[in-house]
Amino acid sequence: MKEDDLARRIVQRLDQNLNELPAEIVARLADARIHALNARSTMSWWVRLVELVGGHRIMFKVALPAMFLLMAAGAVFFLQNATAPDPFDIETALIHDELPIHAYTDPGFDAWLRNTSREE
Amino acid sequence: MVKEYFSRRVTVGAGLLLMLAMPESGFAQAAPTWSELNAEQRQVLGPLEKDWNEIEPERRQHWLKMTEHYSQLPPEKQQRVQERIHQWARLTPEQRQQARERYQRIQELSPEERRVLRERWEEYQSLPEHQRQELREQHRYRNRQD
Repeated sequence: MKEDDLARRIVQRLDQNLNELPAEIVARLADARIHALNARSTMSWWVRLVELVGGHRIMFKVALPAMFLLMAAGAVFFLQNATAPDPFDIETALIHDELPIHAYTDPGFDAWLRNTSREE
Repeated sequence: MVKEYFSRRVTVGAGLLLMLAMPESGFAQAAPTWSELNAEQRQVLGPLEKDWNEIEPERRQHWLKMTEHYSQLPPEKQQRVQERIHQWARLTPEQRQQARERYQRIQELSPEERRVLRERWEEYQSLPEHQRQELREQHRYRNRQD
């Protein structure tokens, strides 16, 4: 707890010195503060919005992992779609196929194929 | 200095906004309603008219793409495409899924096996309707047993 005591003493000394500052320096500090506040009020709304969002470290702690997760999910989605055949391509092929679409949906054709292959 | 400080944040913020705003290519495509189709598109896609405005935008684009080469097809192929679209329009979603899956499985067969399958289909088609109906019943009965 020595560090805490030291810190407390430094703060006390600084506060004490602040009260003892010459009027000229106090006026300059006040002037600089007003100047900084004026500059801030002229910033465009979107810069302030970005500052509000980006200024919080917590946002980076959340936004960066979220961004990586999104990118990873995107990569998985892309790879899955790259390997799986496009259903639209299958439909186009079905429309142009030599076999009519009923050949793929008629349960009787299935049964007939099974029966005839058993007979052979 | 203030500029540098904010430009870094602006870059990060803009990157995040861009990622959120970036549309997936399919969603960005326009999907015309039935009344916006031209005469040829309406003629080819006629069987889908009833459902057209309910079809997902991406799928509508896919059907429109199919009509692009329609006029270049020989008349017998044009007729085939028309029949198939008609057949497709009358299928239930389950039957469409079944057709897609079986088509994929049949594509794994060799060209010779596919030729035989086409011949079998022709033979099946030559059976009297009552016999084909019996086969359908047989298939349903078998499925219930399984």
